[in-house]
Amino acid sequence: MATINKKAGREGIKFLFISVGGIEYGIDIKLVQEIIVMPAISPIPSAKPFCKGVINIRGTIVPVIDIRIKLGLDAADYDDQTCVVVVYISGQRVGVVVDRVKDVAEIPSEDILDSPARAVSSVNKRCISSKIAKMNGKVKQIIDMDQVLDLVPTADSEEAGHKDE
Amino acid sequence: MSADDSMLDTYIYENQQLLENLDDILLSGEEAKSLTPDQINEVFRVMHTIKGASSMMEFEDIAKLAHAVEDVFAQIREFGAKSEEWPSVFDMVFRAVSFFNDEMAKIQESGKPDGTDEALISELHEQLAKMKASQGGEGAASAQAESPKPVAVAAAAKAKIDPSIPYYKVKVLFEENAQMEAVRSLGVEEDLKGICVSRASVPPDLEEQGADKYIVENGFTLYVQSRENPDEFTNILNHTMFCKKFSILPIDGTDEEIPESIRIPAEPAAEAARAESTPYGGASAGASGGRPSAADAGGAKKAMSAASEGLAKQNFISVNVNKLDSLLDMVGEIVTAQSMVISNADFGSERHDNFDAAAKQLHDLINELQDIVMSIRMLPISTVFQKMRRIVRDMSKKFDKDIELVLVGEETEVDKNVIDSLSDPLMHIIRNSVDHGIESREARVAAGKPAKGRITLEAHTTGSDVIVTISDDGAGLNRDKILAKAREKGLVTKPDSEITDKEVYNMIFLPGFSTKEKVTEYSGRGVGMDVVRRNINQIGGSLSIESIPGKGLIQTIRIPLTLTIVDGMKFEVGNISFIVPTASVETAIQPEPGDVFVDPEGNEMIMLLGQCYSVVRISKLFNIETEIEKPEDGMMMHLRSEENNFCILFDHLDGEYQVVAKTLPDYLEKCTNRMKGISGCAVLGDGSINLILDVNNLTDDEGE
Repeated sequence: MATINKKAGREGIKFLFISVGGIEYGIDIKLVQEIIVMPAISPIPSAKPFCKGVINIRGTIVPVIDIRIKLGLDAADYDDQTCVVVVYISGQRVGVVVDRVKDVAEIPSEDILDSPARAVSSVNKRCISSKIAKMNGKVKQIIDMDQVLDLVPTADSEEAGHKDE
Repeated sequence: MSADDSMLDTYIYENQQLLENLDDILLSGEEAKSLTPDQINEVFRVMHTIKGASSMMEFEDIAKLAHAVEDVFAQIREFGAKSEEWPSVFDMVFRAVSFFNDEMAKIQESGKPDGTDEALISELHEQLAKMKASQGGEGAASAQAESPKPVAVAAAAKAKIDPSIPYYKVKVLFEENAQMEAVRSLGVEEDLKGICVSRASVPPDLEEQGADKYIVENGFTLYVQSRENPDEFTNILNHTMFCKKFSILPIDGTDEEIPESIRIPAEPAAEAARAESTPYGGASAGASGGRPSAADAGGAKKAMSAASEGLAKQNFISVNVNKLDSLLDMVGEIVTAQSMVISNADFGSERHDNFDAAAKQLHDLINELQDIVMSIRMLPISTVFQKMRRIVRDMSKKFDKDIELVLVGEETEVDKNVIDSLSDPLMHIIRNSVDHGIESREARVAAGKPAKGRITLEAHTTGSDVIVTISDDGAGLNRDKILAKAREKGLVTKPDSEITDKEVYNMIFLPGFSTKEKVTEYSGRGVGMDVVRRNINQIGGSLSIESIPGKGLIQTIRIPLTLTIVDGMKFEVGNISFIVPTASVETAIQPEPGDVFVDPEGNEMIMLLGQCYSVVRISKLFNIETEIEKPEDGMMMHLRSEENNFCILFDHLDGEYQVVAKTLPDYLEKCTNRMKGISGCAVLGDGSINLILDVNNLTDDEGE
């Protein structure tokens, strides 16, 4: 219960719940800067499949990635409910395209547990969800955003960066 | 930011300023082999300030060292120093400055200093004792005479007030975020006491609890009696840090404002008559507190001009760089928004004369705004260059070499970013020159060179870049040594004869490379040149070297001036838009069938005005899907830059734009397979983000 539960105690942790491919996931609200409706994305050359391009947020250029690809799902068309969740990790601002944004909820620490079946990114075989949250009898996966975005230096992150498809 | 944090920041910032100043004084003093009385005073004041501020912050070790230096300089201030004493004094103060700088760095990093230099402190005490002793009998006598002095002043203050000495009201207002106002006021009082016969401050007790607050609200006032010219006060007060404004006004000695301790008591007519007859006429108690005498009026005028001069000089404020960055960003956004308004599709192609005129005015104003904002961030490169003087001095001493540093073009102004990024690379390059490049005196003389080595640091701007050259007249790069080391590390397999000099010299940029046997404190760790080059590349610059064996080494750093407004040609390839700086575009070409041919090695080429240029397909380079296959269906541009000269082939040209360049986020490195050749991006009027081509780095080395 070390990483997500930074503020261990009775308060619990707030998560933003989003939906991708019909499944709900939680993102630690502390990482979320803002949520915007699908903006016009400018493509970049030689982009890896998960990167859609870049957008301009009030003067700052922010790269946008499609979390579906990272989760091993097929790309989907965007509709009027598709949003970009802008997260801020390790000094980097990154936009993540999600199908739906659901809500924000506070989960008491005792309801945040290690995930029994670890969700692994099909892309780089990294574990992108090591925790789950129990909510109203249901179980939702908590996304390790830094693993998804490959912002945490791991032993193999060097080569993963180069060999990523 | 908590109050504590900003106090710490203030403390660090101020001390760094003071120490930089001090370095300059010491360096010129060391050359002149002594310090002028003004410089001695300056050193004393700096140490005094550092001592006081450090005590307040409870950094005792720093305060102790400052105190020790202050004592030595108090001695020098009173009794001077003998010529043979100066070298060791300089040496010790330099060491103290290094200590303070190190501690400031530690505080910046972790919030607290942890060093102590007891050895230096005792050396300073010894020096002081020696200096006092060598004064002889005179020293002992004056040392004794010193102590009764303060008492005498106090006694005089209480017992007798000489009404013939003019009174002045000195008022100091500190900057809003100055902090530690009481300590600063104490410093001001200290600074002025030397030229005052008597003085009294308001608030009277500067060590009292509410003193800071009182001073913030009401300013610090010091009533003094002085025979000195008010200009003296102005000179001293001009040195007060964080002083927003000050004024020195003559005041009547009997004015009720003046604290009783030094005020002339209201007197009977007889004394008044006596006072009036003095040339100063300062205590004209009889004449309704007015200022009738000519001498007095003259004095008043002088004090007034001194006061207004004081006000005029306080023209600088320190600004947080983040605020400047935001300002610059905002101006960039305005340029884009302006573009969106002016080239708005709603207008169609009709002409609107009034609108056009207004639009032009808007455009001009915004350009000017932008120039001003960019100039705020420009600083003369001397701030970096001057640091190098200290480095050369220290290293020359350390390696026992005689080296002269020549600075050219110090006044060249560059963006603050550039200054920050140049500092470390320059330091490393200079260290290398002193350590590896310049030979020992004996070796130089044997080679027919002057015993004194020379390093020249030069800066100048071309229209778009800043060029910084570091050249030395040392031995240059040693081809054999480098090659040997490279072979040792298994980096080279080709036979020597097939390796060009240029290739050998470039080997020093390989990570972990170093031919130095011993790892010294300054270099030889072998991490140097590749980090240097990377730091320079990070700000969009490039580093090249030219070595002349036996004669010396020339290293050239080229840095683009600013990353903001770029005039560029927009072109498209597939679904991606690019901008190439107009400065790099020689000409645009509409190729005809057959213009582009293939050379024996399979590279596409084109003939232009009798010259042959390679053709780079942007679609191939960046792996972009496009329908354009034949050159005649697309368009080309002939590009020329420092290192490259070639033509690019793309889908179509979109026109010339003036864009605001932005750096690409670091994260993009993980998102794309090719970042090379892109120096940034630009947001256009329609909101689209275009990539800016870096013509220098577009193609891989040696052509395609």
